[in-house]
Amino acid sequence: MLNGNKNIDQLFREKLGDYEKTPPTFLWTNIQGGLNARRRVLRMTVLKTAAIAAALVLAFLTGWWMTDPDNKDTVPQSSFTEQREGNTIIDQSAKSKIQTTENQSVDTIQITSNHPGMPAKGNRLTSAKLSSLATFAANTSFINNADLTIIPKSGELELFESEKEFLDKLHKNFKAVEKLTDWIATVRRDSVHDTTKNSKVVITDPFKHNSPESTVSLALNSPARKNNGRWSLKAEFAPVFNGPTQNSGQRNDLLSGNSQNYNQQKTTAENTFSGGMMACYKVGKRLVVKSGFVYNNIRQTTRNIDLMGVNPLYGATGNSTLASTPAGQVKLNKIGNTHSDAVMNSNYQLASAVKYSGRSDLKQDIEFIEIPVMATYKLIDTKFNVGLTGGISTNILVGNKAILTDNGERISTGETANMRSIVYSGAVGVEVGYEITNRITLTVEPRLKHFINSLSTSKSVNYKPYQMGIVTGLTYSFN
Amino acid sequence: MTNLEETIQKCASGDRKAQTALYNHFASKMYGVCLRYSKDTNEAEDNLQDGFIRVFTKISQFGFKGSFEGWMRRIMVNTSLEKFRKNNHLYPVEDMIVFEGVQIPEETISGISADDLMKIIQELPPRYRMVFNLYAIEGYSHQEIAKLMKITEGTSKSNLSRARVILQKKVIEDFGLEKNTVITTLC
Repeated sequence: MLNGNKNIDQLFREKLGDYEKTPPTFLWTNIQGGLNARRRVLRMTVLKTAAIAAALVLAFLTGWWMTDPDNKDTVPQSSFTEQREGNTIIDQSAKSKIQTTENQSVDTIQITSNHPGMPAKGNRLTSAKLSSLATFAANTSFINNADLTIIPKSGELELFESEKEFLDKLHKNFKAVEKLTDWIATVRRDSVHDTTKNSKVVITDPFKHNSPESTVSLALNSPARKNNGRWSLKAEFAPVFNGPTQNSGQRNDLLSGNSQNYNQQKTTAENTFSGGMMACYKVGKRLVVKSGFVYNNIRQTTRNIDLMGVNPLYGATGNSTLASTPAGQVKLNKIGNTHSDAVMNSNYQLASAVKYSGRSDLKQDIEFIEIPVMATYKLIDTKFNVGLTGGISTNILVGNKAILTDNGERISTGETANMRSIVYSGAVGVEVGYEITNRITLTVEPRLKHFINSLSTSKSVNYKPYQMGIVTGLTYSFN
Repeated sequence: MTNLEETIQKCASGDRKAQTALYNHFASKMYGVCLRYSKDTNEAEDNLQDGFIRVFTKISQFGFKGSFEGWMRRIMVNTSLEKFRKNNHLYPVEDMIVFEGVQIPEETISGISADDLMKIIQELPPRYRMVFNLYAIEGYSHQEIAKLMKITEGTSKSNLSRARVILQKKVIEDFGLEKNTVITTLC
């Protein structure tokens, strides 16, 4: 008599402990295929990583080269030639000593002139001219002389042994050039103002201090503010707080109110993030329009999810399991053993479907690529600026995942049914910015976003969530 | 296989011939393990395939400190358990089945083949099959089983008890004993 637990264990251990059976021959072929696929995936991962890294480095180098002011404002040799012939800053006797350094660069300013010694409109004002303008500026006492170590005092002209020497000094005193630029911009503003009064702005020719009859009209093409390129690029990132989920009412249809566990199912919205790139264009003094691509997602988790599947007791067949959430019905892939292991309470059985209840959580991830068209009106436009932002977005559905988990482990996947592929949303916010440098501005913007139409095409689901984000952005201005 | 250690080292460097040799040597035994943990041959084949891919991927981590066969067997068991966890995450809301224990006459045992017992064990509910295999055949403790299967020790003991009763009943039913000869005891 096989009596007791020990013996039944022994029976199976003796007969099955060393059980062997030859597996089908195709299995080894499958295993080899699997190993090859792993190698391919590994190789592709390495290649992709290298390609992405190379692309990033290339993009960085290209961007750096394109925006580097030294590179952009390279002065051709002909300009230097013209300089040497057209002004008196360089001693004619020292002319032979000058080693022209082609591609040597300096900051330039666009000017127009009616003076034969000045370059025509659109020509670049090179180092020597800058120095002359600086001299003039110094004479006007607009610029702090402490900053202008290379700029000669009134009536004096400094001699340079070579252009290189001059350029080196100029670079060392870049602040002086900046102040000069500011001063010129101020002159331009004033000249615009005065033009309205039919008066002509006349500036003493900096190239001929002792010739009061020689004048030059400076009509500077550069805009009034120093950080006011029309085009700018903004990178933004935001933690997103999704608003409370809405009850679509669909669950009642599904469960017919006969589930004792109905109240245990609870859906909560989870925090996500968004981020993207925006191209910005300054339309007027205070208005900026923006558009670009922004990634955004909505995530919600339903705990103790009630699942509906086919009822094997009634001979029903099917491969999917359903769950109902505020965002609509979720279709999950067949859960492996629902028919044999997860026996359900008989109270929950319907004719052809049955409710399976467990401790599983259902996470829904809905991802969008957003194409916003937004406008910011700057209420305060200084180094510290404040603006009101508003706009609408087209949201293209790019991801729709539903994951059923148990103790954090994935047990089935699926998707939310009837999701709309394009949804529209509106957003408003208050943007606070600070100019870190002339080109870079840091912004922080609390932004509220609301979907205009329902995310679901189902008539029984009206799901229009809202999101609150703290958008942090870095704006880089061109020009 | 003449030199297992050399074959393992060659497998670690991706030598396909060595991999074939290793597979041919162990496939039957490992298939036997997978069959015990699966509900049918299809599931066992899947587990064996996944298990061997894992063996060849991780073979360089084998430290030659214990039995290589034991190491492979653990990989096969873990692969089967992972598949089980993936596919069996819904729990009964209410357990309405009343289990009974039985005693089996010894004369019944001699006529039972390993294939017959394999069929019986594959018919067990997955959770019971896993616990019974781990405890009765592999020799794991309830504490280890609880950790492996992410259940409590109490659940492991309960599952084992029920598995034993079901197996006993199955043996009686499938091998022609009269129902009235079965001594029924409550578990």
